[in-house]
Amino acid sequence: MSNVVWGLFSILITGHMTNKEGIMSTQLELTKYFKQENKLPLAAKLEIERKFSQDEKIELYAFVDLNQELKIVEDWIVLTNKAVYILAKRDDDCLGITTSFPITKISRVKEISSPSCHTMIFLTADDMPSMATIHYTRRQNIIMGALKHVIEEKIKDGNFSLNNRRDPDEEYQRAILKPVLDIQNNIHKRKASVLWRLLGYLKPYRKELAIGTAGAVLTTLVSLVPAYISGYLVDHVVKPFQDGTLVLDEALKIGWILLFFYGSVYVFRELFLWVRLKKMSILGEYVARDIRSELYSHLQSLGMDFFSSKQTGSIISRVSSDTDRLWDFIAFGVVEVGISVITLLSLGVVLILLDVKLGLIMTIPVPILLFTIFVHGERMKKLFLKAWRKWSDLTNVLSNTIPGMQIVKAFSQEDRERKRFNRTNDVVTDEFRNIHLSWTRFWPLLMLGIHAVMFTVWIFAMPRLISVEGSANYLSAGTFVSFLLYMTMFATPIEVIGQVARMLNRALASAYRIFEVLDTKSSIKVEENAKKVDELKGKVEFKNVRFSYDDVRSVLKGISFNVTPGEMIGLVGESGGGKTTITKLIGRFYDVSGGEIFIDGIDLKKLDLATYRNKVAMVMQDPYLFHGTVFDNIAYGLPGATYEEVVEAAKIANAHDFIGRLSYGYDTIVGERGHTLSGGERQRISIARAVLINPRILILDEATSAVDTETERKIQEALDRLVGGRTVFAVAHRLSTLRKADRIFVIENGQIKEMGTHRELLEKEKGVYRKLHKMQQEMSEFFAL
Amino acid sequence: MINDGKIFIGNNGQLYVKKQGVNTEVFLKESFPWSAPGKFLSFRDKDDNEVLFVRDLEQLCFCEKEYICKHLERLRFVLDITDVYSIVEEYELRRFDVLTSKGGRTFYTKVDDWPHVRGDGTVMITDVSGDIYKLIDRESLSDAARKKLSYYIE
Repeated sequence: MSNVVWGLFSILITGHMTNKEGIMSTQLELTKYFKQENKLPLAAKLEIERKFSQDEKIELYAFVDLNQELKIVEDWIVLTNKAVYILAKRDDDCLGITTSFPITKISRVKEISSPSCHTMIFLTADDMPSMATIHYTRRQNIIMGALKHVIEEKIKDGNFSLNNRRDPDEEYQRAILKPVLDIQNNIHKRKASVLWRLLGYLKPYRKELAIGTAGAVLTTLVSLVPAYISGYLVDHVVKPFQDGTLVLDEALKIGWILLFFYGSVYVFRELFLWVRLKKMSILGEYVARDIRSELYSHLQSLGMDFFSSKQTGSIISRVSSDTDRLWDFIAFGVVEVGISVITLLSLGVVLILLDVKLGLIMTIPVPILLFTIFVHGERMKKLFLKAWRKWSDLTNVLSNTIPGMQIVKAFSQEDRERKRFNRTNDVVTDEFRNIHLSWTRFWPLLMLGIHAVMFTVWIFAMPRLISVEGSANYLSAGTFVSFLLYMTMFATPIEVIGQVARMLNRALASAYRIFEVLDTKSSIKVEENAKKVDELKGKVEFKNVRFSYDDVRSVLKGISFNVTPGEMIGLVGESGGGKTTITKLIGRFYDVSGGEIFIDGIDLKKLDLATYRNKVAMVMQDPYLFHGTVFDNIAYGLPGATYEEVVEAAKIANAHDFIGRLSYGYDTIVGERGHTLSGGERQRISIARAVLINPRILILDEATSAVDTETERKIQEALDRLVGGRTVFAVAHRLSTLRKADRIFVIENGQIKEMGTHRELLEKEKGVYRKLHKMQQEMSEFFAL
Repeated sequence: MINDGKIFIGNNGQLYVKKQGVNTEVFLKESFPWSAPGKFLSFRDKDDNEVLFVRDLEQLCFCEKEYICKHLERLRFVLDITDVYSIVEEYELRRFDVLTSKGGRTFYTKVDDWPHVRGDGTVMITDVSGDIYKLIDRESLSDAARKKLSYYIE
């Protein structure tokens, strides 16, 4: 018993097993995250230990962060194997015991929840005042829940003890950090920065990367040549000819050679540029493709808990637009930044070599300009943050209304929705307007700054240009022409660095989102030597199965049953009782939180998931059809199915007749989610899909609940044919649909309340099933009237 | 007292409803905790079934009102932000270092969870643990704090 409780308890507060490394990192991070004590202070521990009776030891403790006046405090509650101690700070700022009482005196523990304050009351008897009342925020909720759970177990079973199987410090730390670690999503700690990890995807394309980078470097270096040639032409051809020191023929000869060089340089430059653009663009596509494939393939391996915790739109955008942004960055960002830095440095060197004074005037302001770009980038980041927030409001309006368009129209709310959208649309536009105002103001100012530097160069250069040749300050016209041309090249890399910084931010944000998914571990652990399921008899055994979707609220609370092959089990009971959860666990869409499931006597976790699921079929209340033909949808689970097999399955599913009436028969495209078909038709196609894979275990989850009586009859007929010889679990509210069930389980509040045949359950005088049956009978009689 | 039942505090200090001669230990829930506080009060048993529904606090007698007000104080407890020291983006999280009317507090929200601004201008921030932080009057904040918060709420 205690092992089971302990298992539940572990999962309740940690969600997974721990290891020593994990403990270390948790200890380090608790103070960082919440500025809350890492563990029970030593002074408090010593204070309690002084009161200890023989063999008494601390089993669990929690932080109490609100006092009776609901002020933030740093009090503690400590549970030992014998008593409960509550400690609060005294006037001298030292922790002291304010209340303590033996566990044997507690009759029950009551918890009252409110938005930010929980209250736990320790009651001894209903006609006696409570022994203690503590208040705490939700942050402490998990560890307090665990504490309450253990006390309740001790009340039930006086011998129950945690026996120090887990370190109380560790339990406390993990419980407090759990929400944060869950959001950071089981992510293996970032071993390398996101940027390095992203660049790692370039590895398989080293050759292309090298060629692309070489193209970019050569483009840059070659770009420096024309300015030099221009200066050389002026100083060594034009001026000497004008001064009469060079004859016309000689001047023309040298001039044409230089111009040929000049032209050739541009040809080579464009050639290198072409190589660079081609290689890097295609390389970017390859990387985006690789990431998309990895991402999609990883998504296929994730458990259903991941998909229920993320919005569909968010997952889709990670595969589509986020990978697209990465292409942008890989194709242009990676090399551009490096090249721009090299360009700035080489330009600086060339300018200083050409003329030290003017070179320094030109290069010294560069760091200042880069700094202003950085500051502007930071501001833009915040503006983008606001804009994204508003943008998400806009997409929320869309995702809320588009799927519910029929309701909008049915209630004539088109005008209201139009206004709501326009209002949000205007807000988004305002935010983007602010962004545009900011960058359009900044870039001309930046260019003005660059031109101001150029203007300063002119101011210093002009007196020297008109000074006498040979004087100390003399500046030749050719040198200055080169200088001017180099100066014009200065603006581009600065601009590129600014733009790439934005691109880099966007790409890194996208990379974060992608890596978040890639780093999420599947909640379904696949064993390395899992047994392939070639044949399945269909025996299903639940042994004290417990399950919780959120690690706090238990949906299944220790369910045990044995189902023999070929048996049909009806699952009935209140909504939210746990019926569907049982079917999801059989399909292994989730793993149990405690207990075990055996299929044909083998632990489900030890079976190969793919081959097992090939033997299990599900027919859901709202069947999902893919965009494609009727044939494709029926054959989805058995891609190599023949026409004959598909038609046969459709006949068994009572679908063949209506498919024949469709314009293109089995080749009819059913549209997105099968919207061109009625609910009953979609259901029968999904039954045909199940028939085709010839499952040994069949799960029917409210398969006939959303259709009219005639359609229900047809579906029921199909199901009756389908269930023969298979183990079937049928969830149903309408008890009439379970008339063929061998046994019926009544599930309530996560437990099996009743179990037996229809007749046996009806015989139970105060039975839940009997009550349900009576209610439904009365209802049908009422409507028959 | 209202016609349906009587509310009283039991010897154990807990809230009870006496209805048709039966005493049921209850807890209190507000149907509209933010938009209509003090109205539409639901008294529920341990299985969360409603035992008594009170449209308005004013319907109750003086004694009952006094008990309920005490309960409501705890029920409505949220941390009121009075100053914002810093807001920092971390991996998938946003960290807020704030001062509340009850003391200093550091909390985290998911990076995609934005503060919610209600129609009356009250800012509500729910952290990763589910605790709610409220800011009623933005104007009462210092300029620096208002600026820090502005990117997330304006």
